[in-house]
Amino acid sequence: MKIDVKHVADLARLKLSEDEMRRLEKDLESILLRMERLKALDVEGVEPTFGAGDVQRLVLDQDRPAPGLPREEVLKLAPSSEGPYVSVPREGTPGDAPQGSE
Amino acid sequence: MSETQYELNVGLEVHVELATASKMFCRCKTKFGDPPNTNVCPVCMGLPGALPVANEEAVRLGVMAALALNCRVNLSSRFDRKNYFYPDLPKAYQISQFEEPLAVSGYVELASGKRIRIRRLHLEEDAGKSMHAGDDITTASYSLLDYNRSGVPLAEIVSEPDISSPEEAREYLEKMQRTLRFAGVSDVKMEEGSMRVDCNVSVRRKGEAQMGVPVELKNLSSFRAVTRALAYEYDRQSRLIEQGKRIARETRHWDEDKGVTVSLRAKESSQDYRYFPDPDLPRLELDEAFIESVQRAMPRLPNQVVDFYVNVLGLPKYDAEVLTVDPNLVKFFDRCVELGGEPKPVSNWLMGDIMAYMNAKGLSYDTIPVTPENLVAMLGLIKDGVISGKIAKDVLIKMFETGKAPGDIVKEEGLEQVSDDASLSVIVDSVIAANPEVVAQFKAGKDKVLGFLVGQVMKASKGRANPAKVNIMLREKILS
Repeated sequence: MKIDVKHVADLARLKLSEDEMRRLEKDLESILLRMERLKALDVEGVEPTFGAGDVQRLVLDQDRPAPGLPREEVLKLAPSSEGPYVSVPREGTPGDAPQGSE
Repeated sequence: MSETQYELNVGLEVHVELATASKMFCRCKTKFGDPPNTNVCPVCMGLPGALPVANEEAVRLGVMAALALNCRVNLSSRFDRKNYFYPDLPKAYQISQFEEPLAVSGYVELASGKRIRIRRLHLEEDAGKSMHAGDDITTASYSLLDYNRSGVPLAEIVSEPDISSPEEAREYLEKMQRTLRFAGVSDVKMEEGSMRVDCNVSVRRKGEAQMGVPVELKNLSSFRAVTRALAYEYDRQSRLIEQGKRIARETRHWDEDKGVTVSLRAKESSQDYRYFPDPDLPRLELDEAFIESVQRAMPRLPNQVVDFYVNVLGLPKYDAEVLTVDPNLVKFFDRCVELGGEPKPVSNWLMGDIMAYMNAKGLSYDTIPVTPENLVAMLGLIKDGVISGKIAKDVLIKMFETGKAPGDIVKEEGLEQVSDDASLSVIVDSVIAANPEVVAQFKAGKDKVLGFLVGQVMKASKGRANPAKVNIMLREKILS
């Protein structure tokens, strides 16, 4: 199975050299190969699971607000900040990526 | 070009923020307008190792919204990760429901009886807010982020492309907004972003089997913007088809000031969201008993209220529609009727002077500046002939300003209607004496001029004379 490393890198916003791309292509292919072997297993009649662990039903929590992190701490975690905000390099042109939730 | 050759097909995606106290997957506050980055924690900041814990109330409100919109709730649904990079999304994925949404197959019924089908309603989390600093190329280009909104629970409601005019889109949105407001699931305020709308618009020649190429519209910040943008797109797309040109599958941005849509990006390039089941969240399993308990707790919805007002209280349909704009207005009206107020006069005063005053002052319906008790008392004063309807308008303004009971205002200001014969007689005589020509015309059979004389008496009495009595007295005095 062939993988388009350039496309995957674009989606992950990674800038890769030709060298890295060649190496990753190999790595990713061997990972996919492993998956192919799993696909060969007979899972007829087995319910699919999407998570590890025993909890098969979402546990719901009560809607009671609790304090989070102090702002100073949050802003310290960010690579850069300005006033009360986290600041980041502008992502392309405005609206280049999905804005807000879609 | 004959535009009637073309048909508009619109599907709407509506996002509403669910009215919970805490976020979808953490217990940070959801309050609108708090100082930036004060309601955040490791979960909604996407810090490594943090795990989401789902909010029961968000699920309950999602089910409530689904039932209010006639959807079928899936007893088993699932959360997926929608992957994309944007600074307002700290995890670089949004938790949403893709393959198995919370609910499907609902509808909103329009006044014409046409049903706009709802394809699905699912739960997801909101993103943070970004502000772009340095719009000038010479200044630094960076964004400022506030993550207070990151993780606020949303219901996304997706319609089928059943909407065929800008007016239908508006009606669909207004009906949905009212329904969700009455159901108590959301503030649904476009201006605060607790209700947001995206459109998928396509145009095709009438009679064509295949739908046109869908164009997505963004930045629609009011219902008016939605109708204007749809009208613009209908025009633009039908003109392109007319010219034999291809319509690009793209996202377009509504420019409110210029009244046009502009291309933002081609759809193909950014659509690879690589959805997959979120391994942190097991399936959401609900049981029939839970759904039934939500259904039982459902407040009266606007359609039911309208039916009751029209069929039981005998209000015109128009009044019923106006009154159901807001649940607080309905509560106020219902209380007035409970107190013995006659439905139609109560409705007239609410739709007239009270709404006008509130609009002028920019008040919301949870703070109507008079009590139902005082409004009903005022209507009683009119009915008993203590004040005229005209004077009542002034009394009402005083009630707004002072909060006093109408009876007290009438007494303090001496506004009682003058009905006693002696006082009226004096005024009527003076008006007759001052207008000999008009009186002569009336005597000659010109009945219409009496209105003028009544008006003069009302004026002389500063609106306090009882008009019915004045009418009779004038006739008697002139013709006898």
